[in-house]
Amino acid sequence: MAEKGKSIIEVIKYLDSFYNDVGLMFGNLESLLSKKGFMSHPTAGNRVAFSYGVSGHIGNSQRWALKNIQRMYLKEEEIDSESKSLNKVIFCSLALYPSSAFEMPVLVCGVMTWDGYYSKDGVYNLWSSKEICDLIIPKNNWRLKDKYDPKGKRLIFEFVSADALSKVEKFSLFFVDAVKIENANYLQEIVDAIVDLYNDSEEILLNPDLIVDSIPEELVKTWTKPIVEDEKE
Amino acid sequence: MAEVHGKLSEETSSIETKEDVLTSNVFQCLRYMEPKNGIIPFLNEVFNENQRDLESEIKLDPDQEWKIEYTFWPKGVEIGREPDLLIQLSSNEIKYTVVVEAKYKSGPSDKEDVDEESEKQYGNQLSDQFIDLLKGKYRTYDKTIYLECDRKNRFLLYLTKNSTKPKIELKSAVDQFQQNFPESKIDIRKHLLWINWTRIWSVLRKYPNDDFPFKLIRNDLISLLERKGFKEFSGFKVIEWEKKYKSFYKELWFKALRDDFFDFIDENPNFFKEEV
Repeated sequence: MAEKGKSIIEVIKYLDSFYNDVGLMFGNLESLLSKKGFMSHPTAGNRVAFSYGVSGHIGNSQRWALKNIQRMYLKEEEIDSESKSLNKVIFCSLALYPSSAFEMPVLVCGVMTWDGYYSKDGVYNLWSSKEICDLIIPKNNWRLKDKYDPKGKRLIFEFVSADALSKVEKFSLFFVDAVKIENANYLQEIVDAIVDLYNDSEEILLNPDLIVDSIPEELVKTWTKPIVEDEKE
Repeated sequence: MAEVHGKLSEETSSIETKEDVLTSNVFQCLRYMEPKNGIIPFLNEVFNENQRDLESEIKLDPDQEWKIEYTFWPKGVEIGREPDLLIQLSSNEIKYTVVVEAKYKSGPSDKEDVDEESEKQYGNQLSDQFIDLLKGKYRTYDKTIYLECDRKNRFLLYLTKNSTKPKIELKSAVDQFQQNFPESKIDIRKHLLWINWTRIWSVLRKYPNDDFPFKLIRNDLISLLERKGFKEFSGFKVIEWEKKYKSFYKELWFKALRDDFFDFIDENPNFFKEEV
């Protein structure tokens, strides 16, 4: 019995340390993004969970730990401007669902562009309504068209919305195996790649070791239009 | 140090106390270190971080001989605000003053304060401290300090734990100051700087020092900052945990989390047994 207790205490210590590392990772990521001129939106949004968050309710004990971390970033001048609309955002999301289609914690990095403009005040409601995090769960293929049949390694996928997300013009992203991000230098590479994606660069460079190169088939079924060709041997 | 200044009295709240203790511990250590390996590169990091807002680039030469005076918790004579630290730097060529307002877990100590005569609104902590800084007169328990450096070389540094610039807090200080002093020749936006505690850690890591006693001071300060969580991300410690707790890190655990836990334990009765 003593060993059982010890193991559980070890798990708790591990989780404390894991969340501490997650916090450091996002702090560092945001600091690097701010050097590139991107700030979190909302500006004072130091909380990572939005309304889909942690509960302290005795009846909601399955939500006593964070399952998903979602952050969104705009250009600093867009945050400062009086304009109430936007048409392009960077987002980063760390999926910690036990039911994730991935076998490891995955940092989803991407850029979403709207056809026209989207409400600046309302955009984060999109997040709390789980539009994005649900994409890692294979139940949203009703949203999509032209289902993609996986062939080989694809690094960046482009999401084309169906009617339910008709205002989204383009949604490009890549998946990083979070456990392989070993230090701030790796984060710098990721930030450079995100900014390149934002700027529609033709070439996006990122350490291939970081990239999740095996997209779960069940997830791929819900995605379409790869924009990066297979790696050539 | 904080105790010497009466900052640990019973009336002080625990958050404020922690803030003052952290500030005194960190800056006392920096004070004991050689400027070229401590405070000078840190201030260069501050100027670099805020470069876009500065009137012109500022880079302090670490090889120059700097005379640096630290005054903890001086009281501004004009408005009466008490910043955490006043740093006065002088070399043969130039003088700078940096007032530090440090935050750990709290935000700015704003209050509502209207001057009945002029009907001007005061009370924003950073704006008030900037007024005190421009007036250039401070008091401590045993002396009065008159700032000698040019007003264009005076800076107010907001030191927080935020990972990025707390724009709302800085903007509200700028707004209140500009409302009260629309004709001011000194643009507060170019003198109100921000940085976080983690940058002190980053600077110290960049400047190793093997000489006694500076090595010990530096290492102690790095440890203190790490203990407070002010460090850069250095990966997830899964491997370290695997080495430390062999009995813990098993792939099975994660299967256990996915499956029904009690069914899993029934199927794996030896799961909690220690491995040798």
